[in-house]
Amino acid sequence: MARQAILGLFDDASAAADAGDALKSAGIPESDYNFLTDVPYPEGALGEGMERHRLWVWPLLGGLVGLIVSLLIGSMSPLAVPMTIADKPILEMPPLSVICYTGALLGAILFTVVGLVLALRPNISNRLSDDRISQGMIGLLVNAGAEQGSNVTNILNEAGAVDVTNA
Amino acid sequence: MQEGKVLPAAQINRDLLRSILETPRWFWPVVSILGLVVLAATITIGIMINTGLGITGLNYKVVWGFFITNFVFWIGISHAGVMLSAILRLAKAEWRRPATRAAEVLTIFSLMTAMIMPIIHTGRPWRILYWAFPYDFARGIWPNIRPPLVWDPSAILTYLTSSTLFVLIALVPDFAVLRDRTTGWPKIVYTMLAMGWEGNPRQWKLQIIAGVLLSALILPVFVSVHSIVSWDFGMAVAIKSWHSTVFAPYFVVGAVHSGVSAVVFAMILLRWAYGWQDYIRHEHIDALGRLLIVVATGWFYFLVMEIIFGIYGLEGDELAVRALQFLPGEYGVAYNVWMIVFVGITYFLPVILWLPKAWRRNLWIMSAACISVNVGMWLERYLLFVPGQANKQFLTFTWNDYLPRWPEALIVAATFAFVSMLMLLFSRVFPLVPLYDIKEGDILRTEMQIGRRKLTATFRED
Repeated sequence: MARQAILGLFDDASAAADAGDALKSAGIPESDYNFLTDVPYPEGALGEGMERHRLWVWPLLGGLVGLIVSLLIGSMSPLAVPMTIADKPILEMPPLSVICYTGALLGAILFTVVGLVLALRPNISNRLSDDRISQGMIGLLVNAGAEQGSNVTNILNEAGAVDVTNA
Repeated sequence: MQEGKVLPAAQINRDLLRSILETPRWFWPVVSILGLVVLAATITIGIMINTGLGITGLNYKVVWGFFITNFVFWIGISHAGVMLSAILRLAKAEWRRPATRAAEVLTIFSLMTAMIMPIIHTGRPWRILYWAFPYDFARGIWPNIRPPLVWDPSAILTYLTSSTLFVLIALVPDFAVLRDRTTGWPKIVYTMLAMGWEGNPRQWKLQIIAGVLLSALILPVFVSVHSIVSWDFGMAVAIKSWHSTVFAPYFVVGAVHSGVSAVVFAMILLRWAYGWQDYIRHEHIDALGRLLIVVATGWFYFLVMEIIFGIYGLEGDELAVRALQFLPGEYGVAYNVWMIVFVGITYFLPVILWLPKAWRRNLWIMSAACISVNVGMWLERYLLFVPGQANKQFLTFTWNDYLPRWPEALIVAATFAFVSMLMLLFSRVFPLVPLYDIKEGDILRTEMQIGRRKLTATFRED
């Protein structure tokens, strides 16, 4: 069934939150609408559900990978090309720990960014948007079935939308 | 209490994107002049590589001079980014908002500049590859990981990678604003960089959590980088005055001192150049001034400790270096005079200027104090490295002092032009004050009546 994108613009967070509640009451699932803002509003301020994430797993995983890789490079390189300097052992813990420390942190940081990019699910295709959102307005983007279109438009208007546009 | 007024989002966009969407008349002439200085230095580097390091003032005895001093100086400046951005972000300090981006970007460009110094200092830059990277598996050539000279590139490259990613992640929402305001190829580029950002609650949450995670992860890198740089010297057993256990914290605190001062000066310049009086306000400079008093005093403590630790052991060679630093010059170079100048302009003069509130809010005085700190911190590194090498040692059959020549002076001067040019070019394509951070500060702001006073306050979510 064809679906259409409808964007309502609000100049007040409470009105946008009311519109979200009205959509929910009208039987539109939360996954079918999204608030669009130019600032991070405190979580739940717009009546949206709490988002769960597992971003914290990535630095742990990355740290472990970085540690293992740097441990391998740090231990294999002196063993591959042994250089005897004074009475120092070929494989020394202090330098190895410095390399491992740096490697683990690098791994953790790289994996965090990879995890973030994957979680953001980049999609650069054109979507219904409005420049007024970056000027402080709050957008409520509804992905509604064709038969729900007029109902959604009414709900947005009744909640106090400044403007409602269809894709 | 917070100052300034709450501005509409449209005006914030207009003001902070002006540097990108319009070109000020002074922009290209200034960039061209800076570019010419950089070009002159590049040609000089070419001549130096072609003819050898003999054209510099470096000699058999003093092998680490202006270039290494400048390397440590720029590594120090790079510490401002993390100090301001990561620590203040984790602490949710409200006044961080206009300062973070400029500080982070300054970190990246300072690091890039710092990395150039040891590379050209080697005389044969291509050989760096053999020393630092495990790349030639076929010939079985591996770097020797035992000296700190190999830890250095690993730590600095880690810091550079982390800082760059940190800035890019923080820029994503601003890329989206630019995407919606540009046309043609800039729009294509900003669209790619914005990665489909639309500003929904899920994206904001992930972006904020990633910011917190990266802040927490970069902080240990930040501490390790300058610690490792200090070990380049601290682990050199042969040079007496360098063999100090207090070097790591001393270098880290010194780096923060010079870095934050540089950020303050950069913010004042940006405020003046782009008319950002509503964003970079006196209260922000005032808060940074107060922070600098604490940092400067911490640095001064380590400076004194470093000297006391050096003298306390009563080792002959160490005392000889200290005598060279503090007593009238043996070789005609008055290190003692420079030491007095350095301590005066790095600690006493700026701290006196930062103490009165009215002076912290005077941008001319703050600029002078911050320039003074950075001149002093450059001198500090020079006076830490050169006398130790110039000192006459047992069984040394030749010794010399060090007098830099024009190639070194030009290259060092050009590094300042290089960083300034990169900052200006960055401001031409990316916002140097984070739009969403400023807007967030505004929506969380409110006015409270307490007794007979009306105060501006900001909500903070725990």
